[in-house]
Amino acid sequence: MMRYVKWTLWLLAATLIVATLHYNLPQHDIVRIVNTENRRVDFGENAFFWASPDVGSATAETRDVFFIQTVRPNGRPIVYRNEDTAWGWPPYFKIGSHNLQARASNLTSTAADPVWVAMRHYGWRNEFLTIFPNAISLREVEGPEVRIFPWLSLTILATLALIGLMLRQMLRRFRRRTIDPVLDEMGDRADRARDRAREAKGGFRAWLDTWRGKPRR
Amino acid sequence: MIALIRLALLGFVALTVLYVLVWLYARSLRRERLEQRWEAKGRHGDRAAYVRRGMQQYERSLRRRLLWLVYIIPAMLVVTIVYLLNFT
Repeated sequence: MMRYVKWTLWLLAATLIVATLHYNLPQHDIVRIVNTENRRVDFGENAFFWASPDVGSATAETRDVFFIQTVRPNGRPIVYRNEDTAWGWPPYFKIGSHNLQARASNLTSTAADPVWVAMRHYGWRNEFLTIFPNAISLREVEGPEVRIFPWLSLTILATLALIGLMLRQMLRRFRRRTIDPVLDEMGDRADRARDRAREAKGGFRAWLDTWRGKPRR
Repeated sequence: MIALIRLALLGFVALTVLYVLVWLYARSLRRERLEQRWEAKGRHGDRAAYVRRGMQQYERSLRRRLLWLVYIIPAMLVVTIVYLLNFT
């Protein structure tokens, strides 16, 4: 029973970590921009999945958000929001959403004469929550079949793994050099105390025995 | 502006925690190496004094000062990301 509880908790923790990484790490899509717009958004249950207002602007319950509407090479649509992340989470320090919107508008194209762009983004599109991935940067690419190797994500993952290993190493060292000697010392002391107690008890027994008479004949 | 100050403060606190951890770890590594060197050299003189002298030398070493990179690298990284993402 406890084993299932333990495994469930581990599974939940792993899922949470993987989901967090998948949401926050940058990814590339090859898309064709069909429209850019600016729309007012009232944040509700999905407020968690929206970033911050433009850097330096006031925080309000509702605000205008840039959107970039695109079509993927397979013909299916994908809509991005284009928000500053400013000095908050995730740490992309994006403060140029207006410039990005201008560049996206500049690269708008029709199906007849497509211009393909690599859209770097983080986040998820989910229709049930009305949430959109946040565009981080874009650049023009030659065609829809271009593959982009995720150097940045892999570097970040490798760095995180390295930090994790380092922390583990530190913890082990702390245990070996600081905690274990103290525990050993406590163990030794306990052993000695037990020996003394046994000796004392032995002494008491021996003393008691002196009161016993010799076996009668 | 408030958000930037908050980032700076939180970053400073987090990096200070990391700095202390790395500082303790690096010192522990150096201490163990000194203990091993004392054994390897044939256990001459007082072990504690030997280690203490070695640690004093370590406190003045370049290696010890390189620990400040714990603060410097993340700060440089933030500046680099802001520039690369928004101004190129």
